Amino acid sequence: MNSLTAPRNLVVVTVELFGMARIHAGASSVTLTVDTRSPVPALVDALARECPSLVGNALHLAEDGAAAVADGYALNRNGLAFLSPDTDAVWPWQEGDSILLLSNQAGG
Amino acid sequence: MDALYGYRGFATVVDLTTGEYRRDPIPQDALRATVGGIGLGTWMLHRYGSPIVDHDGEILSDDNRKQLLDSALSPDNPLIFVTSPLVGTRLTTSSKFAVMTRSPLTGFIADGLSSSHLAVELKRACGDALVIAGRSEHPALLHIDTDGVPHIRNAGHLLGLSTLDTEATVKQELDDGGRRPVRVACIGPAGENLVRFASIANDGGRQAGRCGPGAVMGSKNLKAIAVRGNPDSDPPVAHPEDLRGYARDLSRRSLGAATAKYRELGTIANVSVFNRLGTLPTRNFQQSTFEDAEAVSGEALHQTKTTRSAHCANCTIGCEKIVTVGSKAQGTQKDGEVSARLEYESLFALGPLVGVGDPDAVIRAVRRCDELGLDTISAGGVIAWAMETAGRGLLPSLDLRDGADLAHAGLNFGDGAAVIQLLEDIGYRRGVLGNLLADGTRLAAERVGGGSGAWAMQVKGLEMPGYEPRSLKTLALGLATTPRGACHNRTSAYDADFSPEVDRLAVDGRRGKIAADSEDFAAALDSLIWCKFLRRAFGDFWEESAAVYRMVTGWDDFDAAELRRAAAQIADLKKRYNQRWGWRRSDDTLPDRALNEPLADGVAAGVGLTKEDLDRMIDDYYRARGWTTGGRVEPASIVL
Ligand code: SF4
Repeated sequence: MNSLTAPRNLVVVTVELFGMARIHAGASSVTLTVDTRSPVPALVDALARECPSLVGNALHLAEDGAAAVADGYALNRNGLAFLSPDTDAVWPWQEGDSILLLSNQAGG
Repeated sequence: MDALYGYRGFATVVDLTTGEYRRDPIPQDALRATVGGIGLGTWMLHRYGSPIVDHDGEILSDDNRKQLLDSALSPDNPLIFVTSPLVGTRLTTSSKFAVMTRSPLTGFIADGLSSSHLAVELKRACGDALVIAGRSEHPALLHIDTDGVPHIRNAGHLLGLSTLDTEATVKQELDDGGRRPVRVACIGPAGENLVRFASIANDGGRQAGRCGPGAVMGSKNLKAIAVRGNPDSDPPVAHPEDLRGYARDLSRRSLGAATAKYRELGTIANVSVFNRLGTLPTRNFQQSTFEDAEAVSGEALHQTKTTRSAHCANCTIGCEKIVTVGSKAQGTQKDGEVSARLEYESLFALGPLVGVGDPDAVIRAVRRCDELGLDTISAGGVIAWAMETAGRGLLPSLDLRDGADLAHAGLNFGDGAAVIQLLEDIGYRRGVLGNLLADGTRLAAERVGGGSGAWAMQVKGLEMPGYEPRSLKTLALGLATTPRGACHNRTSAYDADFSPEVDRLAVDGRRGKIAADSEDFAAALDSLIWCKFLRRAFGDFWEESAAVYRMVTGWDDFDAAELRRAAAQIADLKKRYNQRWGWRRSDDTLPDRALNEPLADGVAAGVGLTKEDLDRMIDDYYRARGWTTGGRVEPASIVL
């Protein structure tokens, strides 16, 4: 589905993958169609469905089957704001947003 | 005296001028108050390296300050290797030591860290520290074997050898029939030639790189140190059973998610992330993104190059990635192919910072730095400054006439071959340009003039690491205030910037406290000594580290609060040391470019940092530290 055919409350966002997430996925980005008011955990769930090879490394599945960002990883919106991965806060997403999935360890 | 656990309780002091040595006891209250590593090392710098005249509070002329800078290369400046109470235990990442001296690049404290087998042998052979004073008449090898007696041997035949060849030669010469090798710290040609950012290498290419300890070693005519201790002299630990259990648990945790980045891709994974976040300093900090970042990214190197992991002694993480030139598709490494120990800072400094996007050129440059014994960050920084200065037409003022210099007349960003040639010229102080750059960016800019100080990317004389301060405001404060100069390791302030905790592009009143806390955290890590890449594997770092310290030392009333006090006091001790050597408020700042030019590209394009905003954060930082409004620590507030 692309943005032209998406219903009004759905938008297409790109998840950019960094580090081993990129290598596990075999791609540097994944596109997702999400509701503009999806909280972060719902977006992560959509990512796990779209790119199951991330589960077990950058993402993990809880006992109830919900996906979450694994320890050691972080999310960032558009290269600017870092997101709390388990927050229920709604951002809301906009068409063309980029969500970065990257290591939370910045040491070098 | 009470029984001592975890420590040896003395330092071996060698005077290279007289050839004499002695063992100085270290008081237990000093050990406890400063913990070890960089904390104890700073205390020892005060003890063995104080100025004859204390310059605290004096307004020194520029000439006086230049003299103090140059006096870091005099025989009076001690070179001190310091271990820690954790060295010799089986705790993961604990085989580390500090290298302390006064920097010929900054004139202030030089507090380096390095790792591996040498740490264990130093503690066995020399005690908690090895203090080297004076200057040998002839090129020297300082050899300390299992009896702990220092011998100063002639090292004339080692002169000119690379760090790797020096280590191999010394190991072969002092071989004991293959039972236990000596461990070696040495300098390369850069240290011999007093390049102000020369490193000291040990254990196959690990470096105490920043601030020029290799030049101090060279000024002492000391080419190498070879140590082999007696395993029977390992000090006992107070609660061995508890420590064994804890060590097992920590090793298990060290293999979890908290260290995944370091184990998998290593720190070179930063390149693509920093590029996307607009924090990858490029072409001498003129840009914060690099168009060839993907080519030199950790992900690309992992997929296209032959890469193997390596680790320091006693480390379960193994963050080191040894990368070979050529493509992985060509098969296994062939004899004569060049490989280098690549980590983010070396990759950034000899790649994006100098505009080089060819990974093979970067690998060759890093390798050459390691062989010559050059700090990669400062080497890349000073070359980036030279490239920009050449582009602005200012280098001809140097009268570049001989062969080596003529080759640099058209110096440009992106020229990987020119980088290698300049490294060579710097390492041997060849030609006008090589000799100029060997003194570091600040002095080079002073000599060339023409306003080139505005793009000399250094703080207190130390070249900037690979984090763009305009888009990382908490780190900007850390870089400005850290006693060592522009260093990302003695503060972990960037952790806040890479989290939801702060808006990294904006300034607010919380940064002073965050920067002070992150500096204390680093001081505790660097004194115990844990590897900083282990830091997220702890639950409550302060409680756990205090518990480990009790297990090792048996000082059962030592708690997390005392460790926090020790860390804050170490920051005070470092600051006081700098004050004695002429520190003034204007030393805590950032380069003109960082304060006057907004970022030109990337997600943070247009974002800048004003001097007023930086000064406000610095005031907050001084307040958080309990220092005077002028940034001084009062001597009376330091209690040992
Ligand atoms: S994580 Fe890396 S630097 Fe730290 S001790 Fe291990 S190998 Fe050495």
